[in-house]
Amino acid sequence: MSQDEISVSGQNLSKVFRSAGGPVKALDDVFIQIRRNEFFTLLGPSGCGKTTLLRIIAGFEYPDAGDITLEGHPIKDDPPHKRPVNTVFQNYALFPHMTVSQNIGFGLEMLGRDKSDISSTVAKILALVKMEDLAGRQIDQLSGGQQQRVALARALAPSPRVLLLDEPLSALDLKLRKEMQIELKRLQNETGITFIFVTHDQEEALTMSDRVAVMKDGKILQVGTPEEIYDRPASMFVANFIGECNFIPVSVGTTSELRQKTAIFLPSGKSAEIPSERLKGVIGNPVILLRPERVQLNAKIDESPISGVLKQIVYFGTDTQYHVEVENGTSSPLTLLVRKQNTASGSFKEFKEGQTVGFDFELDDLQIIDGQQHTHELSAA
Amino acid sequence: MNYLQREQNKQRWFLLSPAFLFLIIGASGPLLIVIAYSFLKPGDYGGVIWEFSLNAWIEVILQEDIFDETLGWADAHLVIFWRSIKLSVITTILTLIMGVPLGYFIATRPGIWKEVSLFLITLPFWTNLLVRTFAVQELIRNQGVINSFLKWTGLIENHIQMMFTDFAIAFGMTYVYLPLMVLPVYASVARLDFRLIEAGYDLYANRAKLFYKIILPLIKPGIIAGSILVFIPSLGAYVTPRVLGGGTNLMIGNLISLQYGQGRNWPLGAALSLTLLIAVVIALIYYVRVVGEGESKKNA
Repeated sequence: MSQDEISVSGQNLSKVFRSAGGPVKALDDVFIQIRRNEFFTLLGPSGCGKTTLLRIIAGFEYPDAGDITLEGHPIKDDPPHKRPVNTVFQNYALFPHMTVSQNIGFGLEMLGRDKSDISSTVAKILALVKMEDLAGRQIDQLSGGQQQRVALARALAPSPRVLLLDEPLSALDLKLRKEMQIELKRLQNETGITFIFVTHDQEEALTMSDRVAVMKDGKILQVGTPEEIYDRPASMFVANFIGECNFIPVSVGTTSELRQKTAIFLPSGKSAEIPSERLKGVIGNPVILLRPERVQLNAKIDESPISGVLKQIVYFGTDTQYHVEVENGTSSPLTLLVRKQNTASGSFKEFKEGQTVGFDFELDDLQIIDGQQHTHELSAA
Repeated sequence: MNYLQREQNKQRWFLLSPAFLFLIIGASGPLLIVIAYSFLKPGDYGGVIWEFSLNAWIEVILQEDIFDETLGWADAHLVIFWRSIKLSVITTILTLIMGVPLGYFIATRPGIWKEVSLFLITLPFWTNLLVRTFAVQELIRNQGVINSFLKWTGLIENHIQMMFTDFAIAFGMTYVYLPLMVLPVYASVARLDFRLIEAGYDLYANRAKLFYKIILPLIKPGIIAGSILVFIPSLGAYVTPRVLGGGTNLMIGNLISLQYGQGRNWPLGAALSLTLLIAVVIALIYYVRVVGEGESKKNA
């Protein structure tokens, strides 16, 4: 990434909050680079430090350590009103004593723009968020979704270099949220502004983002495109936080240098060969990650690398979830999930509870990680 | 309306009747007596003679010359009206200047400090008004704390006359009525959503603009309430001007009391009281109109 492609860059950012229960590390030596015109999402459970990072970029919090630049300029010591960065707040924080237009024009007014300039920009932004008819309304006369649009418009009106969004959709109902997800993506495309979006909703992160940073306990665990994060999670926490995932402990066998493949042994004792490069960085406890929808069930138990007893079938409408119990040589058998898309012909009835089934999957759909260093993360999640 | 609702309505009125009776007898009764008295003739030794007369109302602003019986302005009354209004406005402005920052400061203190500050603000209410007024006198009298200190430092040679001036009255009333401004301002700041201030800060507003564009409009209800709570008792103040203003710097309250005492002119006292009431109502309507302009626009 060359220097002029970078919008916001944070180096070694740390922040500790004092609380009744002792100091809490909200950010722990975080390094982050966000590209220009990118829809970048900070994803993580509550208390992971994502909002703190956003507030440091906005200027509401001052980092204990580290530096932060915006398009190459250091901004750490600039107060919020000196940063070309605007925020869409979680509760919208619209000014109740102003109309919709006055709210949207507020930033421009504070920047000292002249009246005609303000009113033309406000009109343009109102059209952008499709709120032209409500320009003169008071804030308390708006619905939640409308307030959301006004909050967006207010933050976009001064044409910031970066727009920060702090869980802006969390107060909306499901249908409205889906609408606004598409709307946000459209606005980002049309304005070309860098969006930094904070959410704990993995689906929101996957559907809207160009890149996602998964955070936990003040650290960034993985940064990547939604596909990378979903298909190649770097840790059990990331795999588990985003979507459903099966974790299968395996042991590593011999490597054939010639074919660049390594044998792995599954709990059943059966083995499979995978490209050696996929095992890079795996030292202690290799664990296979396998997404439930990437598995096909079959009745050919002998030919399948994994097999088990079908314990439960749950019908979800779009798909069916199968719970399969696999013997792994210990007293507590492993329960694996399989999801299969439903068809009108009722293919979900193909298998019956109690039946022994085999697993079919592409080796490419496997992800192998080192389970040792991440087991504590999974238990904490 | 069905039977059940009618029964419920009857019950409601029955239960409300003590409150209504109390209001009618307690609030309207005395007022009606005062109105009646203002249209009667004064008795020679106080009290009233039950004969209709408009004299009391005329005497409020006009007076008959002793020698040629022509009517002229009642200068003495007008000076007192003017002084009352002037000092009440000054007191309101002074309490605003001190009370708004103070209320804001207290509302933004963390935990226990907020409660301690509130306690200290309300503490003077536990003391008799007269005692508090004499405390002020002790500060500003010729041999009082302030004059003694200034002489000691050598800044002045002779004492500064502060007692028995308009300054003394304004000073005393500001001290006495300051909590009445601080408490409503505190309440409205406590309700203030500080995320709005963050939003303003984010949208390029500096500190001064944050205050005028966001904080002030949002705590306006508290400021209006505080101003009313200070202005009304100031206009009718009796103890403070009596003690600190002496016999020469009267306010309406003292003038009214005179009519019921040495003046032996109860109808004039009644008419003056009603004049004060009317003045307060007019001032309130005007004030709420002007300051509450934004509010009424909002509802339009």
